[in-house]
Amino acid sequence: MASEQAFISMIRQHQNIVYKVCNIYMDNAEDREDLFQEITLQAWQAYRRFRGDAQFSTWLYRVALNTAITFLKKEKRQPATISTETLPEPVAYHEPAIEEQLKAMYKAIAGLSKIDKALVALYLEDYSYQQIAEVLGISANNVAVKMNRIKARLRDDSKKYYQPA
Amino acid sequence: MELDDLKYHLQQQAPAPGEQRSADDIAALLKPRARSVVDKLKLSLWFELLCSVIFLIVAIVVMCTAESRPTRIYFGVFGITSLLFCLLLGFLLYRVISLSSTPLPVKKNLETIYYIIHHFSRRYNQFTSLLLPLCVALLYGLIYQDMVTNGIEPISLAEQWPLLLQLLGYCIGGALIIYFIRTWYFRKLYFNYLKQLRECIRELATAS
Repeated sequence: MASEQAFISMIRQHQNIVYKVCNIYMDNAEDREDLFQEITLQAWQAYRRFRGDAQFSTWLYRVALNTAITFLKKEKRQPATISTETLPEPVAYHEPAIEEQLKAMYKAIAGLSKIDKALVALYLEDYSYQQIAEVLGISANNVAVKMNRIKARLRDDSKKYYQPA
Repeated sequence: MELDDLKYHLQQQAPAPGEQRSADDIAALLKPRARSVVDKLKLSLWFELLCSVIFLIVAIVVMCTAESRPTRIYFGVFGITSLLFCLLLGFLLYRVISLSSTPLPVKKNLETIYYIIHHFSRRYNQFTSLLLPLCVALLYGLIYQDMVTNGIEPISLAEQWPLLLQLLGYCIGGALIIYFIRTWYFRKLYFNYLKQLRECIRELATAS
């Protein structure tokens, strides 16, 4: 029970991580809710073995990304489409142009592969290439090469989605 | 806009207060339900293991109580086969349970899931492929022994070829039916998923 309380408390403190992963991987509210539950459940099942060797946030990212990448969507869903309904709410800026550019960037991210989304999620969280490499289990050089490619692709794709008024 | 601009904007943004969940909400999410492929695989393995254990018990009971020697041999052989399958399923189940209790790096995690599903389907194929010829061979022996026990003069081997051909026909026909059902079953359950896993592993392995 004490362990469950401690876990719930940790998840409450770090639930933004789970939300971010759900937002980046799922394209509608129902799927996001399902994934949120699945990540929480997987984290709970693994929590008993959590020794505190890594930071809880890094550990939770690992669980969340593993779950999101291998998560089975419900059958009825249509193939993933890019829709603004799926994306995290951009901050309300006074400049509409920036808001539109942010939305365009979110749409571009939604079009990435599952692995690229994992890299973007960790990069946006300000993880170093070395930390990203440790979570994903690849080399830091590989992360650097992939990030350069992803950044270039997002730059081009977000231009396509951005239509200035 | 660049990805770094988005990162900068997100860093300026205070955590969204709208979507915070209470402790009770989170506690309600801890009730298991199978939605991940690992959980589905775990359920599948538990089910197969349960069926194999039940069959093993039945085989042992029949082997110990049957009066007919061929029947005892028949169930003894299937009991041993079933025991081997139980051990294999137990090993795979152990791997799946270990996987869900230790979060591995993403690439290693994907490779392990891929290995388990691939291994499971291969062993399943081998097991079902072995069962049919074993079953036919034992049936043949059983019929032969039954004839001897009941005092019926067994026909010579040279005269048995129509019967042997018939059995071979059943064996091939049965093997084909089992092969198609098994292939359909695994394609439906795991094929697309394995394809996706392979694609993710390939993507992580290549430096581009």
